[in-house]
Amino acid sequence: MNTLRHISVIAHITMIEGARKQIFHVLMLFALFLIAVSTMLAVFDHNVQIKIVTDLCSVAIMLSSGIIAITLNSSGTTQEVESKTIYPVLAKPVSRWQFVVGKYLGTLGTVTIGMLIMMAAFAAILQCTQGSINAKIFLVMPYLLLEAAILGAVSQFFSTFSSPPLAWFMTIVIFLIANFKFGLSSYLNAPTHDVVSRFAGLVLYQALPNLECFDFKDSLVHGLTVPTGYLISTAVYGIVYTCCVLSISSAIFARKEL
Amino acid sequence: MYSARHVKAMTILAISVLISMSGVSMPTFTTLSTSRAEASSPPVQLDPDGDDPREDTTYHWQLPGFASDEHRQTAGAFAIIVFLAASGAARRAVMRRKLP
Repeated sequence: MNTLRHISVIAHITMIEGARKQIFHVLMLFALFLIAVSTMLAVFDHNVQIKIVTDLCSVAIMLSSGIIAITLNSSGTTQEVESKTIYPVLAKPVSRWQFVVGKYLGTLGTVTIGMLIMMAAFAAILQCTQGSINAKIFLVMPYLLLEAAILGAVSQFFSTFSSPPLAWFMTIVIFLIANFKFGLSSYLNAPTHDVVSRFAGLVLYQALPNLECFDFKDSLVHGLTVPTGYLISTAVYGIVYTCCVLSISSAIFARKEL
Repeated sequence: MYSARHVKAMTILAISVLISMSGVSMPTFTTLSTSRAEASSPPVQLDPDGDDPREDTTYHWQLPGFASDEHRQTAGAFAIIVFLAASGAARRAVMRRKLP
């Protein structure tokens, strides 16, 4: 019970702190600007315009929430150490893993707030252009949040042992590669490679998250049905992968000399 | 615990591996494999509506290998969580044990 209380207090403070940061406001304004601009594509046929608006808004929400999660997580823990505000917290009966999880959940809360605002703008635009709101956006958005959650956890992982800019850059690289990871498999398993390269490629392939599987934009744009089993397995995959990365971050942070 | 030299070496290694694998080699490989596949493949039978079936989009939830990758990674991640939780619990138990 105490554990939950400790985590929730740290998460609450981190969430408020994150929502006050300038970078959060700038990225939110950028995303809302992109969502608003998507309605100006009046040169297309009405049906095509709706598809483009849906696609563009989903991409804006995915990119903004991902970058917010990466930016806030890459600097959160390091800033606490640099400003020495971490010491009074750890002097209390709060373990280090509780601190890491609390910081992470707080940041995720900020991302969720941002995503809800963007989603409200998206729904309003759909209502204006289409005359109705596609119910599938409520199915797609949790998966975009899961994608941001994985990116945030990876960023948190890097921030436990490197500087904020480095953590940010490395997570962005992983973000780019993990979005076309499945296409790499045939290349990595090519028989022309030597055994060591194939083994290294296999390890990398298994370690990287597969962010492609959280992309249901096509289903939203073209009105396709995704099997329920696949949706459930993808959700479980996202949650377990996030917990795994957070566990490793906590283990590293627990052994770190502060 | 980690010096700046460790971090720099790790970063250079990670970035060079990632860039060489994704950025440089991938387009060449894709182009080569596509042209080889096209050269060796038999004539394409068109769909009843006259479309080329190779142009049909396959979504990721329709690929069987995609789901099996997810399952393997989920199982691996779960095993790591269990291992870390068990090792943490064992360490705490050792620390709480009273010395004679």
